[in-house]
Amino acid sequence: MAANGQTSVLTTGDWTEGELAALETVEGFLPEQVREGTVLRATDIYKRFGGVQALKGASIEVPAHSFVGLIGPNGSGKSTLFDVLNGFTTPDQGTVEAFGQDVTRKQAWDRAKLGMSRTFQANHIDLDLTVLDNLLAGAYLNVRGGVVASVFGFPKVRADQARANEVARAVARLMDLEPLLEVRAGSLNFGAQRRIEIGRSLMSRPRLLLLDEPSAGMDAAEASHLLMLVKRLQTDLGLAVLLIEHFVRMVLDNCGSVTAIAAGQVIASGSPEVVAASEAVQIAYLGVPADA
Amino acid sequence: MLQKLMAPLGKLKEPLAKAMAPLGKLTGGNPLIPGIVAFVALAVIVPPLLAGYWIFLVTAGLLTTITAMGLAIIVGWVGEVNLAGAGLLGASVYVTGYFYRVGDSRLNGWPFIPAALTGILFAAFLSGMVAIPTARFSGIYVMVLTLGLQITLERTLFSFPWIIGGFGRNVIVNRPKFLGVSFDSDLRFFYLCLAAAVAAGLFVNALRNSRHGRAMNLIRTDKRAAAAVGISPWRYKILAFAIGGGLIGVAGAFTAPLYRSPPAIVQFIAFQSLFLLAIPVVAGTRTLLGIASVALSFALIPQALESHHLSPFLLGGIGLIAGTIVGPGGLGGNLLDILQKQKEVAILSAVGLAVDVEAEVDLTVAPTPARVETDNGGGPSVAADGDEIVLRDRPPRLKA
Repeated sequence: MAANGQTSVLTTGDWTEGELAALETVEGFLPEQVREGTVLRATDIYKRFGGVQALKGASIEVPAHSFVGLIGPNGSGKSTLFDVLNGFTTPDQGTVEAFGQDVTRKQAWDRAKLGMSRTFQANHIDLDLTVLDNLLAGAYLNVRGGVVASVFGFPKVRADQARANEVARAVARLMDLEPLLEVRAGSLNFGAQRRIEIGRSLMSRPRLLLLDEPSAGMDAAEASHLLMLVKRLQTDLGLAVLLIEHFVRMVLDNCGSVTAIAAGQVIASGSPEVVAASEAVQIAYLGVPADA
Repeated sequence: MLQKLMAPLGKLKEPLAKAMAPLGKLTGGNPLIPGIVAFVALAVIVPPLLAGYWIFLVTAGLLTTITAMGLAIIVGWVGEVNLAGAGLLGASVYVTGYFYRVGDSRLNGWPFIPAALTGILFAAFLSGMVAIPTARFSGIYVMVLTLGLQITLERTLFSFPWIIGGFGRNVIVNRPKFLGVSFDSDLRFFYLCLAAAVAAGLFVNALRNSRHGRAMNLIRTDKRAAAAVGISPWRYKILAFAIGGGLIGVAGAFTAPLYRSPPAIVQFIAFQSLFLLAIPVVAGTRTLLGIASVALSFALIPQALESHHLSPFLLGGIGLIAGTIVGPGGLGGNLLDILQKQKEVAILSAVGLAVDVEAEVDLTVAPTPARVETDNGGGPSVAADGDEIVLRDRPPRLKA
């Protein structure tokens, strides 16, 4: 049941037999998921860009195996906070811990090695490559071998590549892309391209997925389908997911916890009901309390 | 305006694609294979029928092909412009020639292979070094940096007569000999260079399909996306520059004995870098066959039209303009698009999607390259019978 009393559009549905097999393949490929504690914690983050103080002491936590939403009006600092969490931006002050390690000064690619993966607001896939090649690009960390071993196809490289191919097909199955593996990404619709990007993230063996407005540019129906898919994957693969989403209702209805941010500061955090009822959140979105 | 001018060419795409389709069926879906086989067969069979001068020119074209493959890795895979192509080529030519030739120094007289390896590693090292600042800079800055390397090489290495063996000295650089087999004749040396070009092509192809090639490609597409899946853009730019420089070095090592004497430095000046850069720009970097075709054309056309005094630099200039008009895929990329479209039509038809291949490109509409019309509220695009998908002529890029 959703926070507004209506039935949620995001429900973990049943997988088909083929999808279950694919799910098992992907599950076997992913690292052991963190089942308890906190996978990501950012504390008291400050970041200034010239004259703009983008973040002013923002903090956020993502518990293991959770689906956390991050909401806020335009310009509130959501994407900057994501960049700090992901390693694209170094904070002026504050710390970021991932999987129990201080990663504040670590680069994004080093955080990916720990199991943190991310998608972006606009598509960041190669439209000239096929769906399969786009997915395989995500498997970089999971195919061994230097340049010489790769070029000459040493046995361990061939084995890893075969495994990556198998998992890419399984991911494609789960992401509703299987028949389109040999089609160029640029020939597919926007929704399919977003699924390719999420699929590529899955190929990097994540334990934590950061999704930056995955449904940006979609209508409400397309967005709900995509989020349903993400929710099913999060639940069944045991991933932790931090989601920025502009469809606030969907976040409130379906995330386990929500953090709201405005003007670079966290204005509410907790269960969707608590955040929805927060006067500060209502003012940030509506300019006045909802009951005013 | 440009689209109107190109419209007649667009109409040729469909019949061409239909004509090429049977080739795809013969080769398990890769219609380029017959082209590659034909290319290599021609390269093996035809040269003995040619006069010595033309064998020499085709050999030079093969070495230009290897150079262009090296540049393609830098330009096409990691998306940086390298204006030091000729400088790196010359560096390898002169370093290899210095150690390999017999005569004027006690450092001369090495066997060909160690001398060539020294030249190759020198070019790879220089190219890799120039990529180090790409951790902080990109685009125009890297372009200027490589131009700086080019000019520096011209004013230093290329100015030392004792290294280049030039400036009026009578220096001979013999063709190599391996395991008792002499490659002294033009024809034998051609086959040696052909083997080197094929080996370089196989290397580049294998690299492109490896995790390293995919990593480089993702960096060109989007550095942040690459970093998010664990790829260090900086590391891979250095690697791409070093491998590209190494391939240019291979071309240089074989160019050293091509003329039997040290070539003039005018072949390795900045203008020549632009000429070399034009090859991957015109051909695109998605097909090695395209690169080889354009490289050989660039080597042979000025000679074939010698009576018209066609400058290679003019050809390079026209090539850069043409490559820009054709677009980022180049000629080879456009040909691949045609072939790929036919394959996609078959795939999409097989999953019950009707395909409208006549759809016009609307580059002003950014976010939806192909729209799958479904009755399920815009959900998954693997649709039921009767759904419709529209394929565009070229995949449009998203607006920033």
